[in-house]
Amino acid sequence: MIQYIIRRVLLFIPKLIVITFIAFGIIHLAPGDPAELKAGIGGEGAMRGNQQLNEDNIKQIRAQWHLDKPIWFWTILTDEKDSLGRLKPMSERWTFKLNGFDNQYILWLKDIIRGDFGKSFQDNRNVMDKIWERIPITILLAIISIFLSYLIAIPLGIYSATHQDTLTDKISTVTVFILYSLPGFWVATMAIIFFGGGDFLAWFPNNGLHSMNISPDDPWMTRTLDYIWHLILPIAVLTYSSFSFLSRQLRGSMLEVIRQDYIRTARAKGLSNKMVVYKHALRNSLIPIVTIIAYILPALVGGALIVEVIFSIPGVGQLAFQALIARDFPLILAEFFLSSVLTLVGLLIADVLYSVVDPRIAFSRKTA
Amino acid sequence: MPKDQEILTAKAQAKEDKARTESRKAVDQSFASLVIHQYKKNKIALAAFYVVIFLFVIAIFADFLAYDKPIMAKYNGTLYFPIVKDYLTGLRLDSWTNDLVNTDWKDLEAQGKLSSTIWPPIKYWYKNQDLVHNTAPPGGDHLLGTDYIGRDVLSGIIHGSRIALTIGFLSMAIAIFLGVIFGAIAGFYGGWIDTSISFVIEVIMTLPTLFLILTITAIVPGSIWLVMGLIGFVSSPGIARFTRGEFLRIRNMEYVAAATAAGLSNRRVIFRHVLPNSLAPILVTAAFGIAGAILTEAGLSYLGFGVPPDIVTWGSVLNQAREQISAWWLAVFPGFMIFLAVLCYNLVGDGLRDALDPRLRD
Repeated sequence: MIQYIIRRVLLFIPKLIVITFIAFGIIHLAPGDPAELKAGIGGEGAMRGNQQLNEDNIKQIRAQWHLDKPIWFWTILTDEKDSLGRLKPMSERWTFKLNGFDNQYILWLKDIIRGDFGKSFQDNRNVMDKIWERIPITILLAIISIFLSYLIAIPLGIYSATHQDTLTDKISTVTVFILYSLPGFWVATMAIIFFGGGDFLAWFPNNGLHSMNISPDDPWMTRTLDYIWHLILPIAVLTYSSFSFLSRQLRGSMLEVIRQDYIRTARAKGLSNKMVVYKHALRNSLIPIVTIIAYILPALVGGALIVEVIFSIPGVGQLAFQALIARDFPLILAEFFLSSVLTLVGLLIADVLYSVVDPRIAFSRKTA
Repeated sequence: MPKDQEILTAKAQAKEDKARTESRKAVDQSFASLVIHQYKKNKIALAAFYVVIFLFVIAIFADFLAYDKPIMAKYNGTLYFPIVKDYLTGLRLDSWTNDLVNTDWKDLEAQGKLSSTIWPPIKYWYKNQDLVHNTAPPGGDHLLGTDYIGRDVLSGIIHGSRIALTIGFLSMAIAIFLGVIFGAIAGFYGGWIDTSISFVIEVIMTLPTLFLILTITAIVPGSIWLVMGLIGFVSSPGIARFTRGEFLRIRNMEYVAAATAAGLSNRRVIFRHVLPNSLAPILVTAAFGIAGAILTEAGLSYLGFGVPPDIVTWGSVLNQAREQISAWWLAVFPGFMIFLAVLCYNLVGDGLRDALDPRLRD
């Protein structure tokens, strides 16, 4: 078991390195010189104010981001564009130059290991600080919605599976299937239009976390109620999708378990239906549900993006969206990197939990 | 010997014969027809399949359903088929004469110059801007209303189905192509090839899908092809992993050993013997994958990324409802189409999975 975890953690490292390659590569997809972009003269060449000042500025930025260093461990030069180069035979056109470790990638990696993702293009603040202050609200949303969806999904899944093919089961299965196919962003938009003060009902606020007229001096109760009032719609949207997924999964695995021999044995030895369902069937059908933990961690960073954007909730997802709109590369990169790492950690935790709840799984033989 | 007895035995004999031929018929049935038979029993899945076909018909004949030129019209004594002519002009096989190249056919009709005209059911193309009726609610000229620059919502939805289905299908085709090739190689050869391909699959699977596509479409100028390729690429590891598992299972079966022993090349064994037997479950994954791809594309357009702004998609119409929360028709109709398409592909996937499951067969 411990051996398995250690092996998983060791496999973690090469995956992490590959993810840094991908993240680094994405940044270099961007057209134009990042330094010029930052100095505001890139792209369309707008804001060509003081040329000298800009050049100094760019030089400074280049040094700060190590843009004066070669990009990668090696450089391959071609003579294609040179008219003389085209006369050379194919094999002589390519020049391979080794740059050693003093390159942009390594320097960038060093910064990341130190936890330094650079400064935001938008307000020059530290990227990590910006992300940290947004994390609590995203975590709060995720925890509440995950808790609620388990709370609804488990009883519903059990009921559906133990009353298979009854009318209630059929209705709930169809409802869950429809919910499962409903696009979250559509439901959220409809919720705002019909309940959030369009031309219809204005039961709930449609953006933010606080009302304008609420100040920190107001009594604790008022503030909390206002907070909850603002969170109802976003949490409902986040919850319905995960609960429909969960209860479908649970019903499926429960039906599988109920057909097993040991359930028949349990019934044959005279156990009450309740005992059989809760003690024998439920425990074993929860195994696949546990692994859904793997999706929870990445959801903290990326999953709530659409809901946060629609309801203007100042969480990490909204931050990522603003960064994408503003092409704030350091911030985009940090969010991308963090959510990839969290997915990796989530998968690791799920695998470990799997072996804890289901001792039948022999990890010693399985090549991770 | 009583005669009744004889008749009874004869009857029993006949019954048995009949049962035998029926069971033989069942054995003779091909796998595909068995699956189709099983699928047809599921009424909901069958209905979903018909809706999918219906959406296809809409997408193919979009121009004949919503266009700003008539299907057929007589002008100055000549019979024109303007929509067909536009197609041919697009293919450079035909061209409009100078007097008709930029004509507004609705004006011509209003002036009474056209006769025996057949118009499409909706007289607006999705790019037509009706500036008099902008942000108009459903009813009147525009059945499902218009957006803020007066584009007809119904026309947009009809033409948007092309983008949705194209992206759904082609991105899944890319995913299956990549996934089956790499999964097959990994599963068939095993060893270090399997290890390295599996490693790459796992790395791609850990990437945050939506965020990766958002990032790339935010940096690189978006197009349908880019969105399609990206969705296909990020969905391929799932199919590759699945194919690999199927190949690992099938590789050790006797008939594969027999085929290899008969001296067939690896390529022939893979394509003629292993792949056809692992294809059916991949189809199920593909059906769910199409639903996922349509949803992802709609989500991207909803957020304003991906497909360029001059192309109308279901997601981009829905996107406008974010700024105009009293224009409920901009949210209800395109959103419903996304939901309908996703629901039906999910139902088809579900029905297909049940039809392929031998445990559910009677």
